[in-house]
Amino acid sequence: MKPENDIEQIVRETRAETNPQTDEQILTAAQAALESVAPTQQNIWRMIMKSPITKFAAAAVIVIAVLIAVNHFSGSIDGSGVAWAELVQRVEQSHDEYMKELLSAMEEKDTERVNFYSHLLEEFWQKLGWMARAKIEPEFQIHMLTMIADQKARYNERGPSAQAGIRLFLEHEEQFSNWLDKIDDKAWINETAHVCKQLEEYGEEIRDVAWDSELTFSYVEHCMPSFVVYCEWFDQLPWDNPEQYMTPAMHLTGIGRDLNIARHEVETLQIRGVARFVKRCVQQVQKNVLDLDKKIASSRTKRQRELCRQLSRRIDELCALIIYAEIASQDHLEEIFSQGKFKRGQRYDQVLTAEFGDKGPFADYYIERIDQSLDLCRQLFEELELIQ
Amino acid sequence: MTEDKHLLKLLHSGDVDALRAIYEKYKDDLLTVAVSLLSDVHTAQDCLQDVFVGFAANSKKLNVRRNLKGYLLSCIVNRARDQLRENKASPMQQLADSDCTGSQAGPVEQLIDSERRAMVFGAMAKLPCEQREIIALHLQGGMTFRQIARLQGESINTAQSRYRYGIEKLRGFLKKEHENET
Repeated sequence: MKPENDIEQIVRETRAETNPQTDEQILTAAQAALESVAPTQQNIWRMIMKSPITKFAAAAVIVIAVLIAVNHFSGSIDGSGVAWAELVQRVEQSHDEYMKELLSAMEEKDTERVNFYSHLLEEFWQKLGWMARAKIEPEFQIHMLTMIADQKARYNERGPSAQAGIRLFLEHEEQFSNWLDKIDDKAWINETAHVCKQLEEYGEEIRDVAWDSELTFSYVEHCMPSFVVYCEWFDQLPWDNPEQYMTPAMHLTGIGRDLNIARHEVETLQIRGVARFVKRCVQQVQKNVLDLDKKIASSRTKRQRELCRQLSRRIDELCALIIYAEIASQDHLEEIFSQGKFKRGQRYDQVLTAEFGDKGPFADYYIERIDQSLDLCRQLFEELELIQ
Repeated sequence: MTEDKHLLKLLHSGDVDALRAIYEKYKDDLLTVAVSLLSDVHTAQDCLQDVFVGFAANSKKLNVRRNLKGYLLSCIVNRARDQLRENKASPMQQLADSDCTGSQAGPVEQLIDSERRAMVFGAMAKLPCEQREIIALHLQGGMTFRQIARLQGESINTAQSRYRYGIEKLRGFLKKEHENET
């Protein structure tokens, strides 16, 4: 061995492996820890995430995430990882099973089974990051659309995939003619431009998503125009029925079953005014707490300690106010939607601005109280500064 | 990535098999990085156990969107740093090869592997902590420089420089070892 020759390769290939006894010991301990975890309570952030507005923002982010996944996925489809190979094999098997069942159901003119298996096929494609729709017509003619978005073309692929393992699909291609042309005529929704603007605004957060997808920034920026493709599908959102706001979009992007992921995204990315305002307040509080700790540590006189105690109470109050404000803002949002103030084609930020001004959908009372509380904290800090 | 998200979702609902799958998937990478940082197999195994126990205990609070491998590697690095701090910031240098191999290779291959492991891990132990971390995370953990820079709170250029310096030193150490052998 000449270690100096290819040092990187040598280090890369130098691995430590666990033995079965160690594995068992670690897994037993970890399993015990897992089982001892109590069920978590729904947190305050989660309450905010129920808002149809944040859901919309989640849709934008999720769509981007799906887009990234699609591009990422298409680039690594022939990866040689064992787990990946197994996954592909499993997916292929299930697709072929669905197809067999669907074809047999079509022969038997069994409406219920046709519907069921065509739906499973839709899901199959959607799980792979494809947009898929199955349309059953009279006489059991099924039209299946699948397509994948790409940064180079608005729709660069249509129809059945040429991927290996989709044998039955290809064998019966004539039964799954494209109907993309039929939906191409649909008008683009007014919100398209707005959604893109939102994406620009939240570009930083989206880059974070990309970071986690192990993609480079430039790659994401390159992908951004493709989002327009997805915006088209927002046309199918039930604008007049906010309760079902997300369903079609999520369905189309294959994440209909993953509402929780959408909520997590929003929870993490803190999109829209509510979360942003709260974030700012929380940051302020955190800073105050840190400053307070320093002040307490350096407090020598009785007056200093008294001021620190007051400050501590103010910070507690501030935390409580923020929580109340979140709850109150949630009520406000529900009220807006229940009154039907959101209309199809209307930009929701205009509605919110009209309702709440620049501070986001917060109850005025709490905004005022939070501002006051922050002011008091500042004053107390200033006084402490003067004394020290 | 998708598989990790799926596993995390299952773990979030308390699925023990998901925990097992995550462990099986990443244990070797994590242990390798830990051994590189600590140069002590037993301590590295303890670190691995601590990380997975903590991971399981906090599974419900975990953010699903996070890069799971990156997250676990960060945990192992932080744990290793704690260990080094407790042991006055120097790797322990107690490599016992029988403990860090689980392979079923023949005796000759095992011997070669064992020799190489001892040499590489020994040489890495001589590197400064930051350089050792970067080399282990990049080459053995598969993290990008950008991710490592983020973990260390440094710029990507600093991370890359440290990596280059580290590799050069490592090359020197191994060359010396090789010359001594021959």
